[in-house]
Amino acid sequence: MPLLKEGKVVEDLWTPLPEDAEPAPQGRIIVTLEQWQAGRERLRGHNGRLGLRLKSDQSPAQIVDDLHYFDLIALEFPRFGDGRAYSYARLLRERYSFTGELRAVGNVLRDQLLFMVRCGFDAFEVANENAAEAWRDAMAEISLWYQPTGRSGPSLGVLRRAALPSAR
Amino acid sequence: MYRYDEFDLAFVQQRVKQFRGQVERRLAGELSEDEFKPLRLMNGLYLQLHAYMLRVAVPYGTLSSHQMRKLASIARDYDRGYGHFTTRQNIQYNWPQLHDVPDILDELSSVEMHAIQTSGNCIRNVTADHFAGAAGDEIEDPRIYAEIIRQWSSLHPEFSFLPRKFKIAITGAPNDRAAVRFHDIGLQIRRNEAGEVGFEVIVGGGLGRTPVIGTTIRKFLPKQHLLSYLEAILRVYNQLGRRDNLFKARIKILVKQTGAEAFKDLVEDEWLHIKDGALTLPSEEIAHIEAYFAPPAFETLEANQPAFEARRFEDQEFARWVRSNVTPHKAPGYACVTISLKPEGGAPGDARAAQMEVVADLAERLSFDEIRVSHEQNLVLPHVRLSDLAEVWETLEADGLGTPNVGLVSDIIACPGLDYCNLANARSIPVAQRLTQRFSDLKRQHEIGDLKIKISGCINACGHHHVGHIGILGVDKKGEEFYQITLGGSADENAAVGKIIGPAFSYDDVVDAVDSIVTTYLELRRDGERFNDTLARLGQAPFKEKLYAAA
Amino acid sequence: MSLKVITANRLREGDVVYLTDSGRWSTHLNESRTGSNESVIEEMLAQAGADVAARRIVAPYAFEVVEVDGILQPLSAREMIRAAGPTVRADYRDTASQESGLKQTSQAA
Repeated sequence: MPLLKEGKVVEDLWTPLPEDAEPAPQGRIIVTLEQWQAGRERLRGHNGRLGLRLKSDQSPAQIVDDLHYFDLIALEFPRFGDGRAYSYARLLRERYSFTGELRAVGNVLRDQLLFMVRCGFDAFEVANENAAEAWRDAMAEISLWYQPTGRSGPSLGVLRRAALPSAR
Repeated sequence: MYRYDEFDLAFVQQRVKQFRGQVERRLAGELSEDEFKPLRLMNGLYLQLHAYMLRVAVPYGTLSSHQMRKLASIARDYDRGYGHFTTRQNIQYNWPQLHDVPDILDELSSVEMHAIQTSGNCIRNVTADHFAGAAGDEIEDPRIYAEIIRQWSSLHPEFSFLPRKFKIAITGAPNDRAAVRFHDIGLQIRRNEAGEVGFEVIVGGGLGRTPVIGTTIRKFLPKQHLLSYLEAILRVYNQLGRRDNLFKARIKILVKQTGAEAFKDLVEDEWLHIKDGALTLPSEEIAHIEAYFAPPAFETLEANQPAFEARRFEDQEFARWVRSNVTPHKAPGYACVTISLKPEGGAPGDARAAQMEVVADLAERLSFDEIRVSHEQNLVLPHVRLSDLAEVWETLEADGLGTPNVGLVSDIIACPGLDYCNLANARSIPVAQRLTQRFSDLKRQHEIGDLKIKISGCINACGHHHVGHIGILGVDKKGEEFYQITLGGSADENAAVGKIIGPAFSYDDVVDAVDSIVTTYLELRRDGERFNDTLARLGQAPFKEKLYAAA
Repeated sequence: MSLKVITANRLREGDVVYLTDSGRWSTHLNESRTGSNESVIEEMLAQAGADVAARRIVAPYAFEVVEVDGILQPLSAREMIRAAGPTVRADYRDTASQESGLKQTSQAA
C-alpha cells in the first residue's frame, strides 16, 4: 500500500512482524499489542527499531509505560465510521508526548485526512495510487479550525484573540 | 444576534467549496454511493423516501428576517415552495436536487447559515430555549454558550466519527423549554451559593427506542470550564461508546451500562488532565460572544397598555389568541408571540415561502429583527410591544398563521413519518391533521387547556412521543399502519416517559381513541388539574376502561 | 410467484423512478417492466446495477405490485406513498405523480 508522508508517496521502511517469526528479523519491525505482550522481554532486545500496531479497541492508555520502546505507532481505522483512533492519536501526542511516527492504517480516506492531521497523525497508508495529489487537494480544503488540538497551526480562538483589538 | 466575523465566514465558505468538490466527484464517478453517503450526511443531505432532503441548521433556533427571507427564496427557487421546521430547531427541504445543493449552501453562507453537522455521527446543532433573551425567568441567555459550543463542535477533528449522533441542549431558565433531560448532554444554567453563574451538567438522556431521563453528573460547572468538560465527556464516549450495535451506541447506553457514578468518575478523571488547558474560556472571550446577544434597545414602557387591554376586552378572538400564543416578556410593555405552524388540517411545522416572508417582515418591523424556531415546531417573535400585538395578529391571521392553539391539544408535534421518511413504519402527519380536525372547536380546545400530543412514525421517536402527555407511536403490523398510545410523558422540568396504555389502534381508529382519552380526562379532572396530574391521581385504569370498553 | 418491479432514484435529481420495458427509467409506476420469476428479477436488478455504475440512478431495489384493471399498484403503504407522493397535501406533489392514477390514501380536508 502506498505510504504518504508530508504530502509525498514514500517507501515504507517498516515491516510487520510475521506471526511465527523466530527469531525476529532485523531492522524496523511493527508488532501487534498481542505480540508485544507475549514477547516483551525478547522484543526489547530487538536489533533495530520497534513499531506498535493497535486495533481500534486497544487504547494506548493500556501501554503507556512501554511507549518509549516504540518509534512508530500505527492506529487502525477498521472502517470509515470508527473514530476511536482520533482520540488515541490526541492522547499519544498531547498527553503521552509521543514524538515518533503516528501512522493511520486501515480504511484511510482522502476526506478524513484533515481530521487525522489535526489529531496528530503524520503518516498514512492509503489505497489510492494517486494519493499524493489527492492529499494536496484535501489538505487545501479547510485552513481554519475552531479547536485547539495541539497540532497544525493555531485555532480560530487564538487567531481571533490576536485579531480582537483591531477587529472590534 | 451572533454575526460571523471574517474567520467564521471563511470557514463556512471553505466547507461549502469542499462539499461542492465532493458532489462533483460523486457525479463524475470518483466516489461511489457507499463512499459519498457519509460525506453527504455530514452536510445534512439525505436520500429520503421520495427525493434528497437537505437539513439546514438554525443554530439554537435564532434567525434574522434577512435569514428567514433567504430560507423562503431557497424554498421557492430550489424546492417546492415550502420548508419544514423540525423539533431540533432546524429547517428541512424535502425536494432539492443533488446538483443544486452546493448552490443552496452558497446562498446559505451569504446569510451566515450552513448545513454542517445536521446529520452524521457527530455533535449536532445545539438547541436552546426558544424564549432565550426574552424570558423573565432566565438567569443568563443560553445562546451565548450555545454559540461557543457551536464553534467548538464545528468539524471537530476528534469527534466527527462518534459511535452515534450527539445532541446538546441548553437552557438558561429553571422552567425547562429545551428538554435538557432528554439530550445526550443537557446544560442547565445555574447560580451557585456564591452567586456565580455556571452549568448543571446532565448526561445520557434521550428518546429513541430506549427513552432515558438524563442524569446530573455535575451540579455546578464554572463557565470557564465549559468546553474542557464537554471535551472530557465526548472523549470518554468516543473511546468507550458501543460501536458493535447501532441501537446501543448512544451515550445513554454507555452511562447505563457503566453506571452513572462510574461514568462521572471517568469524565472527571479525563477532565483533570485537560481542565486548565487550551480550552479554558477566558472571560474576555465569553464577553466577546455575549456582546452579540446583548438585549435589543427596549423602550421604557408601561406594563399596562390601555389600547391593548381594550382590544382584548372587546375582541374575543384576539383575546383567545393572546391567551394561548402570547407569553410574558422580561421587559415591561413587551411580549413573546408564538406563531402556530399547526393550522387545522395542516402539516405540523410546514411553512410556505410566502408565510416565511410574512414572518420576516413582522420581525423586521415589530420584533427587533429576531425570529425563533421552537422545538415544538412553531415560530416565535420574541420581542413584540403589547401595543403592536393587534397588528401582528391581524397580519398573521391574513396568511393562515393566526391559529390560537399554542400549547393546546391541536399544537401537535409530528415527525415527517411515512409520507417522507425512509425509516418510518407509519404516517404521522395525516394523524396530526385528522386530530386537528377532530379538535377543531377552539372553544373546546381552550377548555381542555394545556395538553401535548406528540406523534412518531417509528421507534426512532423523532416526534418525541415518549414525552407527550398523550404519545402516539406508529408501528407496522403485517403491512398495516397501527398506532400505540402512551400516557403521562413530559419533556419539561418534570421529565417523565409515558407508559403504554394497551393494544395499538388502526389508522382509522386512532383519532377516536385520543378523543376518548381526552373526554375521560375532562370528566375526571378536578378544577385546574392538568392531564398528567389527573393521570397520576387516578392511574391508567379509568382511561383504559373507557378506551377499550367498546372494543 | 408475485409480480415485482424495480425502483430507484435518479442520481442527479433524486426523483423516484421505475425501470421500464425499454430499459429506461420512468417517473410513472405504470410504465414499469414487471417480473414474475426470480431470474427475470435478477436480470432487471443486474441492469439497475449497471445503471448505478453508469451514474444514472442510485439505491435500486425490487418491490411487489398487483395489477388491477391494467393499472399497477404497490402492495405496501410505503411504496404507494413513494409512487404517489406525500398524502398530506395535494399541492405538495409534482405533476408526474398526480397523473399516476393512484388515489391518495388520505386527503386532509
